[in-house]
Amino acid sequence: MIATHDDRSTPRLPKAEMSWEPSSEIDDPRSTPVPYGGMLSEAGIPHISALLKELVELWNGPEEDDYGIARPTKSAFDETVTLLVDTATVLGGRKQIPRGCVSVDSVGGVRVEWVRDQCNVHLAVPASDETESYIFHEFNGNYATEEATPEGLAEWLRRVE
Amino acid sequence: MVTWRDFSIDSVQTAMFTPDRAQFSAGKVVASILRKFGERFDGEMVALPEATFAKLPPEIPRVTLQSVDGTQRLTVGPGRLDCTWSPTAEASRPSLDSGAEPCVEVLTHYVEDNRVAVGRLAFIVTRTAPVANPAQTLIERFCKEECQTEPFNDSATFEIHNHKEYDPRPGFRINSWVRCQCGQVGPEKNPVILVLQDLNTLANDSPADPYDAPRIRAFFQVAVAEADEIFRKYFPG
Repeated sequence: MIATHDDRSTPRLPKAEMSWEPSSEIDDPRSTPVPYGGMLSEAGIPHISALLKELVELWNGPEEDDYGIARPTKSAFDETVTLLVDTATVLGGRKQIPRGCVSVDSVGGVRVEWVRDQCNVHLAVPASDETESYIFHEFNGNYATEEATPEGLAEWLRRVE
Repeated sequence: MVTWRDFSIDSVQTAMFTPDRAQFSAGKVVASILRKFGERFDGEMVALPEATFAKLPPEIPRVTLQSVDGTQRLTVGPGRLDCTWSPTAEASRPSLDSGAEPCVEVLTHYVEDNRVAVGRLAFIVTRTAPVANPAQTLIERFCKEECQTEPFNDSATFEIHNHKEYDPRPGFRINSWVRCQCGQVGPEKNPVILVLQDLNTLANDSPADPYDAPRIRAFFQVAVAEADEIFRKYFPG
């Protein structure tokens, strides 16, 4: 970390209180605006990196194994990442994406599973974008499926420890 | 006197400004990047909550991807994408091109894969050189002898900041900023000269003629060459 701020200087007045306007690189449109970084790093956002890492490993792994296709299709990869990232942003700071497991079905679709003693949530993303992704959820013996959306997945994952 | 050989690269940053914000989807961007660079960005992914999106300017990143070794970082938002490379402590004086290349790869892939329109480009390099007295070194380098006697005698801090607008190659008009200032690095606060260069395309470039991948590569090739050439003029030897 390089420090250039000097606390021996006088902090600047807000612009509104100045009767003159200094030429400033920060306000000059010919310079590149400094990117915002603080807000993101302080936001305390859930991390889904472990699931994404598993998915990337499958994507970069062998195309086939003894059981069939081992690599997700491009469509399944993209859709799974999109759903997971968008679900994470819906959950926001209130809850993290729980620990889960990523696998590939025999035709290149993706399954993400959250399996616990009292409940199961499965995200099923088909190999082709011609079929809809869906969520299977089971809680205390009651189960159903629904179309996969970030809001829907977030709602069920809130109940998974 | 300090020369360009005494400096090492602290960071290389490539930035793109994307005016067509309606297309942006954090999930799609991450999917596109991880599909090609998943092993590179193997560190923690951080994303802002959706509830805050609407309140924020488009330049604020919604997603950050990074590498476990800390050398690469990608921040993405509706209005801007930045890819930054920093050398590891063990790296032996990497070239500017070796730092820029992995960043440009990411930018051009993003543009091609997501078909985004790019309105402006920027290339920012920071370099540092350890120097016992950065202020006096800069004064001796850039000020006439009579000014070194007075008023710049015994200065504790000194800085020069220069801006030009010019055409390094036909068809490329850019802003070039060079800022040489005093800094401190590390917990021991070791004194350094810090040089920041910002080369960017003009802010009023026509959005009707966005930068495509070949033009983006061409700009950064020019920017890398110009940054090095300019830097050696500031600190020859």
